[in-house]
Parts: sequence; structure tokens; C-alpha cells
Amino acid sequence: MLQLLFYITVYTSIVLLLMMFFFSYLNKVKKQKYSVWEKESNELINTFIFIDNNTVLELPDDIHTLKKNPFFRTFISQKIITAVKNFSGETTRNLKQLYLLLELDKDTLHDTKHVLGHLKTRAIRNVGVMNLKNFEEIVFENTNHKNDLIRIEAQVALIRLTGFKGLKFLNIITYPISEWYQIVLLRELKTLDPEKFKGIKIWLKSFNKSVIVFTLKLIANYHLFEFYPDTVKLLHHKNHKIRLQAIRTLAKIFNKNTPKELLSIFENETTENKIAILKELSSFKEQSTIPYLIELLKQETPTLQIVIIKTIAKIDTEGILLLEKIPNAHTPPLNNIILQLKEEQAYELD
Amino acid sequence: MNWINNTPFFILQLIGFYIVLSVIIHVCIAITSILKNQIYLNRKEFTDYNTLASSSNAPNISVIKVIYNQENTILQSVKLLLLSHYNNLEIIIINNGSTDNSLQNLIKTYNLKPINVYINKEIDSGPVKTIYKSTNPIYKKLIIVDKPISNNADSLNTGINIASGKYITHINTNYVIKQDAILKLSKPFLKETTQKVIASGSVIKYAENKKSATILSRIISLKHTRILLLEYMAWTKVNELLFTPGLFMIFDREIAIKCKGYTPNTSSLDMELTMRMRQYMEEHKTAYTISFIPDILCWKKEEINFKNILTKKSNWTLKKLESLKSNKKIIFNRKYGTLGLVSYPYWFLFKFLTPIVKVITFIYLLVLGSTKQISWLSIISLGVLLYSLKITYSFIAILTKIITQHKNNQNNSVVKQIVAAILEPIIFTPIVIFSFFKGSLQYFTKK
Repeated sequence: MLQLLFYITVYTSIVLLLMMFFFSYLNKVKKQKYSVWEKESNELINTFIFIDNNTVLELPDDIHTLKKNPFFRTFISQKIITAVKNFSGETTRNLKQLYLLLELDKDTLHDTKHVLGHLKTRAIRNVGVMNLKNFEEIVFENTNHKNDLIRIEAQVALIRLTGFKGLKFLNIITYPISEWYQIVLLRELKTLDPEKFKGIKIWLKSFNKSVIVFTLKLIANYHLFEFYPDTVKLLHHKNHKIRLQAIRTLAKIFNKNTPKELLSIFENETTENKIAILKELSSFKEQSTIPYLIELLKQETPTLQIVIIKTIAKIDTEGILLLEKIPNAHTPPLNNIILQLKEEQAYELD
Repeated sequence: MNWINNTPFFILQLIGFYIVLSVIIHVCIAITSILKNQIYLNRKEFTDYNTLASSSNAPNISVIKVIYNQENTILQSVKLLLLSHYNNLEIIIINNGSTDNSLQNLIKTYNLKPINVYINKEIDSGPVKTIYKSTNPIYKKLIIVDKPISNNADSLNTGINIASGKYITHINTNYVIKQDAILKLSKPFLKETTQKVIASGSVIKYAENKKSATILSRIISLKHTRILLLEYMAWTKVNELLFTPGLFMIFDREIAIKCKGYTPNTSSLDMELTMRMRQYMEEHKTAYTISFIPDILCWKKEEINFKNILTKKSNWTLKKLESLKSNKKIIFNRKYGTLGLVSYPYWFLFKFLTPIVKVITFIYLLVLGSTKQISWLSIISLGVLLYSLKITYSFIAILTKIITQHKNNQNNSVVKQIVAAILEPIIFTPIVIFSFFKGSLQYFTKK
């Protein structure tokens, strides 16, 4: 057994050695080739960027042979995508034309059905960046793909192709949208002109909890005041993450009843949600909430006591005077926290 | 070749079994790791970290740095931290009883003013003298804590108590982090939907000047490549990354507090905290993961020489022994799932015990050879086998690096790495064995 292992090891070592030199050489050749392609594709892209509106766009003769090389096609496709991301307006129209003249859309179509995840993802991303409207159906089909990367690129591409209407994927997705991908989607929506949302009510009742959270973020970001009652209902949802987002969203579309709504759920909330409520209350500066907050000081943990006291001080600059009047204000830890707040206020005034 | 098939010794068979099993396990781990690494590289193209850098939804992260007598370097270190590509960052500098002008330099440069801060001691930590904040609003994320000298764990726990971030990290004085390091390490916390991410980490590498690299620094670099490409990624795939030497890590503050923060009287701070956090999650039956990013996000400024490496390696043995003692209940304990039944026993048998196995085998074979119970040719053959196994493993790592990262275009560089791989068992293995026994001696004699 050990003898066999010995022979396997020795032969493997020799093969590995040869492979190391071979691949190293291959990388060197590749690098040289890429530097030539880099120059040629930069020239081509620059030509198309600076062509004026009235010129007929066509490919130079020397590129026709090169465009048959699949590696070059992948290379120039990446270059065009990067360029489109960096430009806007007429320039992107010309670059899109270049993409079509090189028939890269055919590669994209092929790759959208590729078995390798990253190639499929790249193709879907390219559809979105190049705004290839005829791929909408394929993109939509992939918005609930089991591979998270394909899924998010398809969702982003759909938004790029159809604007806010692209959010229709929220009706069908069964996989959760992670916080990271929610940030990505919101960034994508930021680039669009706001318009009327369709489907908010349905999404707020989705079985997919992340869809509810994401919709609440949409309500907050676009200040959709008409969904105030629906958001209040979600303060009582059994999922704490949905309740947390509902708290944050209410603060963005608040009215005079909001402090009361938030305080009504305070007692049974998780620590994280309680801190979120207190943070929002401090921004409302509603003086009527102070007596309730002072009452809370008697029950809560030191961690929350600090937040409560800070909230009171933020609601009313005279809040510290009120705090000093409460019975245990001169015993630790309250006396220390109050002292700190006094200094912080003085420090801010400086 | 006259092999040892006819030797009736049970121990020799056991050694053979250990070698074969070790090879099988290492090959499986290497294949998994290479695949996982390739997937990471394929996905990297689609991640735009600037999205998070500019987002108001990015989580708050507190960076804690403990300093002691660093008047020459502290200003530069703080400047680098302030330049991090991450908005929601809080920088806490703990002046651990410096006797030089470290604190005065900070006060002068950043217009610091003492403030009275109530510290909610959620975990045990020593007293604090003064807390400073800058009067300049552009440095509002900077907090300087002046405290009497104490151990590193206590200083870090003070930092955790003061921290307001959802996540915490600490940076050693000799670390230099990449500007986007925090950004990259914070992503796993936001990306996971099915389980809680309790920590995320990436490898720390020695900062080396390639032109003046010595054979020892090349061997260390090769070792890093090997564990990075052939080990860590595989263990993260099965969520079993254990005993993470040289990782730059971000922790979930809430879980770290529930585990009572860093433990004084241990030298393995991050490793110990990671283990306790894992234990906590297992005991509470909460799905969790530790994320690992196979990018170099942090460099360690340290001179690579035999003396330093020997000291570091023996300290590492000491840390592992301390950790073994405090986590002994985990091993072979069903309660801790795969942590207790797979990863911990694997680490113990095939990582921790390796130097002992090597020495025992060596001595045993010498005895057998000198008493003529086994031929010297057989002993040499076994030695050559073990040597070639080690080299092959390094070769796989170098080849993986060449193929996946499209690097090392110069044959010159490949040759240097091959030489490092060939010399490693001769130069580095004796250091590892010697430092293992030195560290063990330090542990048992409490020195």
C-alpha cells in the first residue's frame, strides 16, 4: 500500500511540475495576447464613443477576422460592458450598436442558457447593462433561480430593462432577498425616476418575509404615505425583522399618531426593536412621550436605560432636569448616565 | 524496493494507516477547497463593494486598537484607519498605560477633549482613566480611551463595552489593513439569510519585500498559499473552520458579549473567542456560520527570521494547548455536532499531534533500524515517501495559484516557489517540531 502511494506521489509530483511550467507559460502567452487585444478594443471603443449622430455605424475591416475568436469576443464584451457602465446618453447608444454589430447578443443568448453559473450570470448582467429588451422573458424566468447570484443579476437586469415595472418579480420569488441584495436593488432603483408603484399591497402580504421587509424599505425610501395603515398593521407581525423594518418605515412616513403606535408595542418587543423605537422617538421630539419613557426607566436593563435617558434628553433639552427629579436619579447607574449626558450636551454646545 | 510488509509490528501498520488516512483526508480537503475557491473567484466579478460603502443600510462596525508606547507610529495608524472605505465605522483607540507621548500626540493632532462617558460594563473590564473625543466633527468617529496598564484581553473588553457597533474587530499594532478590508468582511453578515454569521475573517500575510525575500519568507508565503487555497475554503464550506491562526476577524458584538468577551490569561484571544462563540451557538442550537474570505486584506509588519518564527510557532503551540484545555469538553461530544465529532478530532489528530507522531515515528524507526529488525533502505524509503508527499501537496497549491489567479507569468518566480516547496520539509519542519516541544514545555512548566 505504502509502496503504491510512493509511486503515485512521485509520478504526481513530476506531472505537477510539468503542469506548473506549462500553465505559467500559458499565462504569459495569454497576457501578451490580451495586451494586444486591449489596444485594439480600446481603439474600437473610442472610435464608437466619439462618432457623431449622423454617421452610419459599421465595423472596421481588420476586426472581422478577430471577431471570430471566441476568447476575443468574451474580452471585448467585458470591455464594452465596463465602458457602458461609465458613460451615459448617446455614447451608450453607440456602444450598444457596437455590441450588436459584433453580434455579441448571440453569445449572450447562448450564455443565458449556459450550465456554468458564472457564465449565465454574466450573460444576464450583460442583458441589463446593454438594455437588450428582447431578452425580458428569459431574464424574468431567472429572477427566482436557485443560484442566488443568477437570481439577483436577473432581478437587477429586469429593473434596468423595464424600470419599476421590473419589480414584478416580487410577486413570484420564493427565495429570500438577503440584506446585501436589498441594498443592491435599492441602489438600482435610485437611478430611476420615481413613478407610481403597483403591487405594494400584495407584496406587504407576501409569504416571503424578505419581500415584506424590502417593500417596507420601498415605502420608507419613496415616502409612500398612503401605506401608513398597512405599515402600522405590520408592527404586530410575528416576525421581529418585519416589525423592526416597520418601526423604521413608520418613522419615514410618520404622523401625529406614530409615537403612540410605537409605544404601544414597546413592552413586548425584542431589545433590538426597543432600541429602534427609542431612536425613532428621539427624532420625533414629541414631549408627550417623556412621562412614559420616565416610567420605563424603572423596569428596563442598564443597556436600555442609557438609550431611554438619551432619548429623553434629545426630545427635550430640559429633559435632564426632569430626569434629575425622579427618585433614583442620584443612585448608580442613573446618576452616572445623567452626568455623562450633561457633559455630552455641554460638549455639543461648545 | 524492500518494503516493510513483512514486519509484524503493529505500530508500523498504525503509522502506515495514519499516513494513508492523512493523505486521503488532505486530498479530499484540497479538492473541495480548490472548487470553493474557484467559485469565489467566479463570483467576485459581480460584487460591487461600493454599493455598501455608500449605503445608509451598512451596519455599524467598531474597530478596537490597543496601543502601548507607540508615539512614533500611532498617528500614522489612526490616519490609515480614518481613511478606511467604510462610512459606519467607529474607531476606538485604547491607550493601555503608555509611558511615552502616544496619548499626548493623539490629543494634539486630533484636538481631543475629555468627556464623561458612562460605560455599561456588559462584560468584565478594568477601570478607565479618561475618555477623549475630538472637537473637530470630521473625527467624530474617533474615541480615545486612556486606561491603566492591564492585559490585552482586558483592554479589548473595555473597547467592546464602549463600542456602539453591531460588529467589532480589533487590529494589532503591527497590522496594516487594506482600505476596503472592513467593507469586504462586513458583506457576509448581510448576505446570509438562513443562518447567523457570528464572525467573518480573512488571512493576514507577512508584509514582504519581494526583491529582498529570503528562503524562509518564501517558505512562509508558500505555507500561507497552501492553507489559503487547500484548507480554509474547504472547512468553511462545511462550516467547520477551526483554530484560525493569523486571521483578521470581525465578530458579532452581541454574541461576543454573551460569551463574556476576550478571556484574560490566555494568549490566543481571537481563537479562544471564536471557539466560545461556536460553543455558545451549538449549546443554544442556533444555526450559525463563520465566514471566510480568501483575499489578503491585512498585512503584518514583522521581520521574518528563524528566531521570530521559532518564538511565534512555540507561542502558537502554547495557545493551542490552552485552547485544548478550555475546550476539552467539545472533543468527541455529540452535543456539539460536527464540531465535536469531526472538525475538532480532525484538527487534534491530523494537525495538533502531527509533530509528536513525526518524532515518535522517527525514533521508533531508528530503534528498529539499529536493532536490525528493519532494513535501513526501508526506513529511507519511508522518509522519502513522507518527504515527497509534503512536496506534492505544496506543488498542488502552487499549481492552483497559477491556474486560478493567472499569476506567476515569469518562470523565474515559479522556480523560486518550487525551490521553497522542496526546501520546506528540510528547513521548516524541524522548526515546527522544535517549537512544538518548546511551546509544550512552556505550557507545562507555566513559564
